Amino acid sequence: MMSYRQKALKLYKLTFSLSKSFYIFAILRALAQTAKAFVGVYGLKLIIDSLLKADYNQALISVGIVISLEIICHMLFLTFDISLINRTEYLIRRVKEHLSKKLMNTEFKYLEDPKYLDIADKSIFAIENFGALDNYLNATIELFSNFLIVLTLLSILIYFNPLILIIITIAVLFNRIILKRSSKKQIKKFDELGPINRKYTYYSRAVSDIKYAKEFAFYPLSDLIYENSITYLEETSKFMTKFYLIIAKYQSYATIVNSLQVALLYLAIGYLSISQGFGISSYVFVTTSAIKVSSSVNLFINGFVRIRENTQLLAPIIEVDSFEDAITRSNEGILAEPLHSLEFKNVSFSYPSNDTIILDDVSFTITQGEKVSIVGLNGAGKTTLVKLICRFYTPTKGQILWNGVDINNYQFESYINQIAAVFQDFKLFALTLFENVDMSQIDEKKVNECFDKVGLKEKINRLPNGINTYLSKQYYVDGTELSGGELQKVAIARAMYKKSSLNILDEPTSALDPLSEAEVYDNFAKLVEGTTTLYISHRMSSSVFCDRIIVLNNKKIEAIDSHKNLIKNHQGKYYELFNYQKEYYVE
Amino acid sequence: MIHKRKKSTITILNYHISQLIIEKKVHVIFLFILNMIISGVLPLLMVILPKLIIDAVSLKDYDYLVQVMIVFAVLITFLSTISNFIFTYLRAQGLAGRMNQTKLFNKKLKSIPFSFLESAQFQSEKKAAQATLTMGSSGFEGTFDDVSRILPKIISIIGFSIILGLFNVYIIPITIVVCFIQYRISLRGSKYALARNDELQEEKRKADYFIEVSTDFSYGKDIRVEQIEGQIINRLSKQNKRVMKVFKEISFFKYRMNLFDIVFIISINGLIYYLVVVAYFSNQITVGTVAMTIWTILAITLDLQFVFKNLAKLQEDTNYTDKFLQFLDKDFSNETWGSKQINTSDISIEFKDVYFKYPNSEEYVLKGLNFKIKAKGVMALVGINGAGKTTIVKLLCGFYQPLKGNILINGVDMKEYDIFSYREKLAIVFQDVNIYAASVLENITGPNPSDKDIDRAKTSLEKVGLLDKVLSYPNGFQQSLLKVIDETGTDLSGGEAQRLSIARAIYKQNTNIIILDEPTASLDAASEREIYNNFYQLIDDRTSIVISHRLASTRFCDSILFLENGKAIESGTHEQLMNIEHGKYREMFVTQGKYYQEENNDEL
Repeated sequence: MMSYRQKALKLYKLTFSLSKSFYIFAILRALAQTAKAFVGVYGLKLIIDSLLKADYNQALISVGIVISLEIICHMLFLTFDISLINRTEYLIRRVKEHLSKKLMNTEFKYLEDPKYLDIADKSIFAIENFGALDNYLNATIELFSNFLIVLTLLSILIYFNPLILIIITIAVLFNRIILKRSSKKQIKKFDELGPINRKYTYYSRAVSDIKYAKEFAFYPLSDLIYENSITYLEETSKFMTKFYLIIAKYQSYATIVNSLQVALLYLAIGYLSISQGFGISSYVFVTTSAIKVSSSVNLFINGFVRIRENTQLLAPIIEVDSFEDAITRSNEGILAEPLHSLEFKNVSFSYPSNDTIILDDVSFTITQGEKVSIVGLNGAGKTTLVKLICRFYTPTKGQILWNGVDINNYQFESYINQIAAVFQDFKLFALTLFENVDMSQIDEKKVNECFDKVGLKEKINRLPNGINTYLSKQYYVDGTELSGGELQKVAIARAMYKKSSLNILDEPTSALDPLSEAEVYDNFAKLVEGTTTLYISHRMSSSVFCDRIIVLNNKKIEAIDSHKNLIKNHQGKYYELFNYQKEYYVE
Repeated sequence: MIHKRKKSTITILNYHISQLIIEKKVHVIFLFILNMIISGVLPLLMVILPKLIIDAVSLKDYDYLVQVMIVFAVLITFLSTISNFIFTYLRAQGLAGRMNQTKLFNKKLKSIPFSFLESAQFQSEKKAAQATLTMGSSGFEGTFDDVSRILPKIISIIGFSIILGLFNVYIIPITIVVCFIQYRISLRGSKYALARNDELQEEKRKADYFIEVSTDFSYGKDIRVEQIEGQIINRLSKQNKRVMKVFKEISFFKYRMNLFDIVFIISINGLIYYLVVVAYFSNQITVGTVAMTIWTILAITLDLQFVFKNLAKLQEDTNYTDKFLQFLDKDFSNETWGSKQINTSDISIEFKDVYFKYPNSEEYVLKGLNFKIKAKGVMALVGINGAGKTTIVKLLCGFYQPLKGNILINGVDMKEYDIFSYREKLAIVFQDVNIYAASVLENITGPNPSDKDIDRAKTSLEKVGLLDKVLSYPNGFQQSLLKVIDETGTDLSGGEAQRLSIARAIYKQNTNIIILDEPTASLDAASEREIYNNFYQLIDDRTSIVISHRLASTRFCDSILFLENGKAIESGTHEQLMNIEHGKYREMFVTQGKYYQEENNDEL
C-alpha cells in the first residue's frame, strides 16, 4: 500500500507531465489573486493615509491609483482564470487519454484479472462520477493562490508585531491536528465504499445498456437488475451521507478554532493599538490583513482536505499508471520472419489467478503452408492455445518456438504482424468499414478486395457511403448496423487484409449462413495459399479439408492426424464428434 | 425569451421542492431558510465588530474591548458551527436527491420501447437527460449547492445595504442597478454556453467512445493483435481537440462577458471612494466610518458578484435538470398497441405481405413477406446472412411494427393485442446471450424466487444438461456469476452461457410460442446433439420458430421457410424442398453437408 504522500506525489508528477501549462497558469492565477488581495488590503491604508494628510487632491489621486490597480489585477485574474479553466478541462481529457493508452499497452494478463478490472473501472468512475479530478485540480489551484496570499500578508504582519503571527500559528497547528484525524477517518470510510460503489456502477450501467434490452423485455432479469440498482443506489446514498457528516464534524472543530482565532486577533490588535498607539490607518491595515490571512489559511487547509479526499478517490489512476507495460511493447528482440514452423514443446498452462490446469504437456508442430484444425469439446483449452500463440500469456511450463526460436525472443510488433486472428468474441469499432479493416486507411483497393472475398461487396455498395459508412447508428445518424453474420465477415476481411504468415480463425463462421461459410473457407484457402492456417470450429465439416487435426481432450492432445486416419479410430473423440453432426446430413 | 428561461428556473426549483415534499423531507426546506439566516448574519457581524473595536480603541477602554470580544467569540463560534452542519447536511441531501432522481431515470429507461434504444437521436437525448444526474458539483445536486450558497448572501447584502444606506441612501439603488446589468451580461454568457451545450456533449460523446473502447477489456485482444492502440489514441486526441475547440469558444465568450466587471469596479468602487473622500473633507464622517464603509463596499461587491454569478450557474444547473424532466415527461411510445388478451394456448402466426425498414434507413429489409405457422407448428427460418431472419424475430417480439402489411396472431392483427400480455406468452432464446452478475438461480428466475420457482429452475437446468455443472460449484445454485460484483464468481464459457439462456426459456411459464435464434451456435458437437435430442421436450408443444445456420436442425421442423432479400422464396417440408431441382434450400443443405457426405462416399 502506498502512503498518502506517495500517492499525492505520483498524482502531481503524472498531471505535471501531461500538462505543464496547467501549473504555469495556476501559479500566474495565484499571483494575480495575491496582487488583488494585496491591493484590497493596502489600498484602504493608502486612502486613509491620504485622508489624514488632509490633502483633497492627493486623496483623489490615491483613489484613482487604487481603482486602477484593482482593475489591472482583476483583468489579469480573469485572463489567467479563463486560461486555467480551459487547461483544467484539457488536463482532465489528457489524464483520460493517458489511462486509455496505459490500459491498451498493459500486459494482457491484467485484462482478465478481476482485481485489475476493478481498479480500471474505479479509476474511470472517480473521474466521471465523483468529478474527483476536477475537484482535485481546483483544490490545487486554490492551494497555490492561498499559499501565496498567506505568505505575502504574513510577512507584512510579522513586521508589525510577532504576537499576531503566534496566534495564527497556534490556530494552524490545531487545525492540522484536526485535519489529520479527519482524513484518517475519511480514508477508512472510503475503503468501505469500494465494494458498494462497484455494485452500484455495474447495476446502474446495466439498467440502461442496450445490449440487455431484448432480454429484459421477456424475462424477469430486468426486475433483477433494476431492483439491485435501486438497492445499491440507496446504499451508496446512505453511505455518502454518513461520509459527509464525518467531514462536517471535523470541519466544525476547525470552525471553532478559527472563530476563536479571529476573536483573539481583534483583541490582540485592539490591545496593541491602545498600548502602542499606532495610527488608525495602520490599525485598519493590520486587521484587514490578519482577517484575510486567517480566511486564506482556512481556504488553504480546506484545499489540503479536498486534495486528500480526492487523492483517495483518484488512487486507482495511480495504480493503473503503475501497471507494467507489456514486454510486448518494448522494441527489444529479434525481428520475426515469416513462418516456417511453429512448435509447442511440452507446454503446460494455468491462468495466473488460479491453479486449474488448462493445458497439460501439449506438444505439436505446424509447418509452413499447412492447414490445421483444432477440435475438442467446449472448455478443452482451444482458445487458450490461441492466446498463448498471440503472446497474451506465457506458458507455465515448456516453450513455444517460432522458426525454432522462443516466441518471447522476438520483438513483439514484428512477431504479431506475422499473425492474423479472428477471435471468437472479436470486436469491431464505431468507425467506418474502411477504418475497421485498415485503421490507417492506406490501401482502399485491397480493402475492397477483401470485402469482395468475404461476400460483403454487394451489401457495401448498397450503403449510402460505401466503405466509408460508419458501423454504428448510435454515434452517427447515417451509420449502419450490420447483422451478426455480416460483422463476422468484416472481422474476417480484417484478418485477410493483414499481411501475415499465420492465420488463426477461432470459430470464424459461427454466425455465418452455410453458403457464406463455404465461400469464406474457399476464399481463405485460396488467399492463404502458402500461408499457414489454424482453424478452431465446432463445425466438424471444416476439419475435413484440413491437412491435420489436433484433437484436444481433457487438457491433453489425444491425437494429431489427418481426417482420413482419425475417422478410422472408432474409439476416438474425433470419430464420436464427427458422427454426431454427420448423422443429420446423411440421407 | 429571457423571461421564459427565468420562469423555467423557478419551475425547476418548484420541482425540487415538490420532490422534497414527496420524499417527506420538508425539514430540508426549513433548514435552507435557517441556513440563509445564520450564514447570512455572520458576515454582517464581521463588519460591525471592527467598528466596535475602533470605538473601544479610541476610548482606550480595555474592559469594553474584552467584553465585546467574548460576546463575539461565543456568537461567531456558535453560529459558524451550526451553519457548517446545516451546509453539510444540505450537501448530503443534494446527493440523496440526485440518487432519487436516478431511480426515476432508471424506471423511465425500463419503460422505453426497444425501437428507440437503437436510434442515435434517442441516445443523445438520453445522455443529455442523464447529465444532470452524473455531476456532483453541477446539475441536480449542484442546484442544492447553488441555493444554499445564494440564499445567505441575500441576507448579507440586505444588511450591508442598510449599513451603506446610513452613509448615503443613493448608493443602494445604484448598486442594485449596476449589479443587475452585470447579471444580465453574465446571463448572456451562460445562455451562450447552453446554446452550444448539445454540440459540446456530442463531441464529448464521440471522445468518450474511444475511452470506452480502450478501457473495455473485451476489446483487448483485437487491439493488441491488430496493433491499433496508436490509431485509437490518435483518434481520441483528435476528438479531444474538437471538444476543446468548442469548450474554449464557450469559455472565451464567458470571459468577454466577465470583462464587463471592469465597468462595475469603476462605477461602484469609484463612486463609493469618491463619496467617502468628499464626505470626509466636508467633515460629515470620521475615519472609523470611512473604514467601515469601505469594508462594507468590498464585502458587498464580492457578495453581489457571487450571487449573480451563482444565479447564472443556477440557471445552467436547472437547465440540465430541465432536460432531464423533459425526458421523463416525453412519451416514448410511437407504436400503438391494443388491449386484446390471448386466451388460448393454441397460437397461429401469419405474416401477410409484411414490409419493413428500420428507422433512418432507406433500405427495406422485408419486402412483402408472406408465411403462416399453424398452432403448435414448428417452422425453421433459413436463408443467407442479411435475408431478414433477425428482423422477423424483432417484429414478432413487438420491438418494431411492420410499415405495411399485417402480422396476424390467431387471425387478429398483432397491433390489437396488449403487447405486455402478448410477450408473457412468448419464450425466446436470443442469438446474443447475456449473463448477469447475480446468482445462477437469479439468472433464470429473476429476483426473490420461491421454493417452487427454485424447483422449476432446477428442472430447466437439467433439461439443458447444466445441472451437474451447477451442482459442482461451491455454492451450487447460489453461485454468483461473473466476477464484477463477487470476486469468487464464475465465468461461464460461451456454450454454458448459451445453455443457461435456453434454461431461461424453458423456465418461463405458460408460454405458447417459442423462438430459438441460433441456439447452438457456440456449442460443441456433443452439446449440440444433446440439445437436438431433447428438442421436442424443449419446444414442449408450443408454436415454434427455429433459426439456425446448422441445417441439421431443420430436420425437426415440420415446415421450412427459405428467405432471400426479405421475401419467402421456398417453403415446405425438408423432403419437399430437397426435391426442388436447383432449389436454394437444397443447394445450401448440400453445401453444408458436403464434407460429411463426401466422407460417407469414401467409406462406401
